[in-house]
Amino acid sequence: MARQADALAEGVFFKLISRLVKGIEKAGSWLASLGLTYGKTFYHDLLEKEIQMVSLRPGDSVMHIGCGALPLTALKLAQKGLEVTAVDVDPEAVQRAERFLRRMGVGDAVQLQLADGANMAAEQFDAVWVSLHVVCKKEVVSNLLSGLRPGARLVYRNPRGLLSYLYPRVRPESIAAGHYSQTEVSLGKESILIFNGSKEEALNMSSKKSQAKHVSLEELAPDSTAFISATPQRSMFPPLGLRRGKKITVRCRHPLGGPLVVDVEGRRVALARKLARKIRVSREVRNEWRCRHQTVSAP
Amino acid sequence: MALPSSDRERPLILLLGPPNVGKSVIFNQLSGMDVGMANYPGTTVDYTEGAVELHGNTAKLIDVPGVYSLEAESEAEEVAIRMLNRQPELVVCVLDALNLESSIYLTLQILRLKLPTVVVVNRVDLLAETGRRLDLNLLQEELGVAVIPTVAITGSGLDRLQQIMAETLAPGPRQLPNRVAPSWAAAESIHGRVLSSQGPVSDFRQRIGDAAMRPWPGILIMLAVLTAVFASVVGLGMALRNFILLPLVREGLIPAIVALVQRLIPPGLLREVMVGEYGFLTKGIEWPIALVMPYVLSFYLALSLLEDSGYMPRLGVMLDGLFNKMGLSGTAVVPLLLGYGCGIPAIMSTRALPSRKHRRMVALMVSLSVPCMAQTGAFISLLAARSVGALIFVALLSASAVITAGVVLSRLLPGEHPETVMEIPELLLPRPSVIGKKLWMRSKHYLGDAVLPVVAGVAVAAVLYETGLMTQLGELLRPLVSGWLRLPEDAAVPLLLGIFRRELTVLPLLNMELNALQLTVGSVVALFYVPCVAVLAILIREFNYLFAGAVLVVTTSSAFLMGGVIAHIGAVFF
Repeated sequence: MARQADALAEGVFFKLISRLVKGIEKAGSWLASLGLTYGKTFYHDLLEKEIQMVSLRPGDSVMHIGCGALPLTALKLAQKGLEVTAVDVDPEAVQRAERFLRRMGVGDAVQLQLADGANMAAEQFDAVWVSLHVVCKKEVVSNLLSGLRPGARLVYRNPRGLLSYLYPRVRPESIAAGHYSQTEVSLGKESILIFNGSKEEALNMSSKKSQAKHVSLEELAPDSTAFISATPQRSMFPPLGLRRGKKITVRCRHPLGGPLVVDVEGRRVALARKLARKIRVSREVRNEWRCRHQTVSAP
Repeated sequence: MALPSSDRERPLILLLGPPNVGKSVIFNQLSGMDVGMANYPGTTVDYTEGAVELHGNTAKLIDVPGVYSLEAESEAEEVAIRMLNRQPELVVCVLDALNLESSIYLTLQILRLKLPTVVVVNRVDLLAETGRRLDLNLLQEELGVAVIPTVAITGSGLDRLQQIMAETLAPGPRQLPNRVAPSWAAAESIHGRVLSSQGPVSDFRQRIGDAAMRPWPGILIMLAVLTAVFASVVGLGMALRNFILLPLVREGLIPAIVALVQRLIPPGLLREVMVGEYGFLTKGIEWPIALVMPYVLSFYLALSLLEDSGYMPRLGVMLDGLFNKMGLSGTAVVPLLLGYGCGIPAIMSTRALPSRKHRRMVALMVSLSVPCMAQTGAFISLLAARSVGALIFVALLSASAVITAGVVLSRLLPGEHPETVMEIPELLLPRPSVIGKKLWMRSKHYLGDAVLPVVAGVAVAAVLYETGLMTQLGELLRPLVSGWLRLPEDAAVPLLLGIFRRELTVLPLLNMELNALQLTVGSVVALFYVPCVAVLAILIREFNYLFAGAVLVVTTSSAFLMGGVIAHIGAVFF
C-alpha cells in the first residue's frame, strides 16, 4: 500500500517537474538568449565531455533521441560540423526545435523528425545520443544498440543526485555486457558511452584516425584526385554530380574564407569551405558505390 | 489566376525541366501572345500559362517551374508533382545538352509516370562547342520516346517539336517507353553511352576559363573586366548621348514637336504643360530618350556580354569570400549586378538565392542603395560636367552603403549564413545574335516601362508648376527641404516625382541653380530615396506588404538622414 502511494506520489511529482522543465525549454527555445544561458549552465560541460568521449569528425552523422523544444545537444553537435538527425515524439517540440535551430544558423545541418525513439533504426549513424528524460529509456537504448553499426557509438544520460528521484537510471552492464563502455560525470547527470565493439577496437579507432583513408574534401591537396565516399544531404548535390563514387579533384582554393573550386567529372563547382569539410573522399573506389542497372525493354 | 483547371475542352501540356535550360524561351516561342503569369496558391511558386496552336487545335501550355528532380524537397518540386498528378495530355521534357546526366535523371522519373512524353534536348549548339557529340538515336532508343534537338534561342528545331507534339496528341497507338527505374546509376549509364568526345576542346579557352576562376590571376582579370565594364558603360553611353541621341532629340525631334504644338494649341495652361518649362512633350521625351537611354543601352550591352560569356559565375566565385563577410554568398552577384540595370529583374532573380534571409537582404540592399541605370544615367548627366568629385563621392557612397547594409542586415535578420554552391560553366565567346536579341528585348522593355511613367510624372510636375501648386508644395516641405537639406524650395518637386521613376529624383535638379554641395546632397537623397512604384509592386508580390513597408521606411529615413548630415557638415567646410 505504502509502495503504491509512493509510486503515485513519484508519478505526480515527476509530471510536475517534467512540465516545469518543458516550460523552461519552450521559453528558452523562443527567447534564444534565455535558451543559450540555460544551455551554458546545464549543458556546456556535459556536452564537451560527451563529445570528447565520442571523438567524431566533421561530416559524421549522428542521431539525437528526445531533443525537445530546446535542442541544445543538436545545436552543439551541428556547430561542431556533424550532420544531425534530431528526433522527438512531441510535434510541438519538433516545431519549436526547428525554429530555434534555424535562428541559430544550423538549420541546414539538422534534420528534424517526429517519431518515437523506440522505433528508430540506428544503422546509418556514426553515433546516437539518448536524452535523460526519454521514456522507457532502457528499451530504447537496447533497441538502438542492437541496430548500431560496428564501430558506432551510443551515448545516453543517467541522472545523479537529486535528479535520480525523478528519472530512471540504466546501468550499462544491464544492456551492453561485453561492449566497451565509458562514463563521464557532470552536474546532476552522468553520460555513458557504449562503443559497439571491443575495448581494443575502441582504442584503435582513435589512433587509426591519423591514418584514415577517408579525408574531408577540404583537406584534399590541389590537383589530386579522390572519390567521394559521403556527402551531406543537399538537394542540389546530386544534380551537380556530387554523389558517392564520383571522381573529384580540387582545382583551387580561395583565400579570405572563399570557396573551393572542384572538378567533378568535367564539371566545375564552387563550394563553401564549410560544405567541403563535410564531404568525405577516399583514394580508392569501393565496388558497392558503382551499381549496375538493367534495362527491361517493353515487349 | 486559379489552379490549372481541368477543363478538358483544351488538352493540357506541361513544359518541364531543370532551371536555366531555356525552357521559358521554348515556352515563349510556342505560345505567342496570350500569356499570363500565375501563382500557385499557398506557395511562392509562379508559373506561366499560355496557349499553343497545334495543327489547328489549341492546347493549354504551362511552363512548370524548373526542378532538378521530383523528390518533393522544395516548393517548386511539390508544385511540379501536383501538376503532373493532373494527368496532362502531354509532357514536354526539356533536357540540357550541357548537363545531360542530371536532366536524364529527371526524365526517367517523369517517364515512370507513364504519361505521353516528348523529350527536347536544348542548347545542342553549345555542346558542339565543347567538343562533344550526342547520339540522338541511341538516346531515343534508351528512353523510348521521341527526342528532338533544339537551339531555342534561335528557334532551330522548334517547328519539328510542334509537329511531334501534334502527332503525339493525336489519338492512336502510342510508343511505350522502356521501363528503366529512375536512379542516378541509370542516368549515368545512359549518359555514358550517348555522349562521346568528338574533338579537342579549345585548350586556350579552357585555360582562360580556369585562370579567371583561380585567385591568381583571377583577381587581376576581375579588376580588368570590372574596369572595362565601367569604362565602356560610361564611355559608350556618353558617346551615344553626345553624338547621336542628344542632337537627334534636341535639334530634331523636340523642335518639331514644339512647332506642331504651338501651331495647334493656343497659349495657355495646356500649352505650357505640354511644351513649357516642365513640358511633358519636351522634357518628358528628352529625359528618357536622350539622357538616360544611352546608358541603358551601354549597360545592358556589357551585362549581356558578361552573362553570355559565362564570366558572371566566375565573378561570383572571386567575390564570394568578400560577400561572406557581409553574410551573403557569391550567388548574390547576379541580383546585385542586375540591380544596377533595373530593380525589377534584380528582385525577381533573388528567387534563385538559397535562403529567405538572403533574399530579403539582397532585395533591401538593391532597393536602398543600388541605383538603377536610369538613375545612374541621370547622375552622370547631372554631375559629370559640373563636379566629377561629387560623382565619385556618390559612387563610393553607394558601394559602402551596400556593404554596410549587408553587414548590418546579416546580424539583424534571423537565419543562417548561406552555403555557397555554384556551378561554373564553360567560358564561351558571346554570340552576336544572342547579344543582339537580349539588347533588343531589354531596350524594348525600357522604352515601354520608362517613357510613359516619365511623361506622366513630368506632366504632373508641369501641372503643379503652371498652376502654382508647386510653390505651395514648396512652402509645405520647406522645413525639410530648405531647412534640413539646405536646397532651394523647388527641390520638393523631385521628391514628389521620384515615386514614379527614380531618375525623376535627379533630373529636375538639372534645371535648378545649385552649387556643388547642393548637387551632392540632392544626389545622395536621390540615391537612397524610395524605389519607384514598379519596384514597390514587385516587392509586395515577391515578399509582402510588411516587407515593402519596411523598405519604404528604411529608404526614406536613410535618404533624409544622410542628405541632411552631408548638407550640414558640408556647410561648415564649403
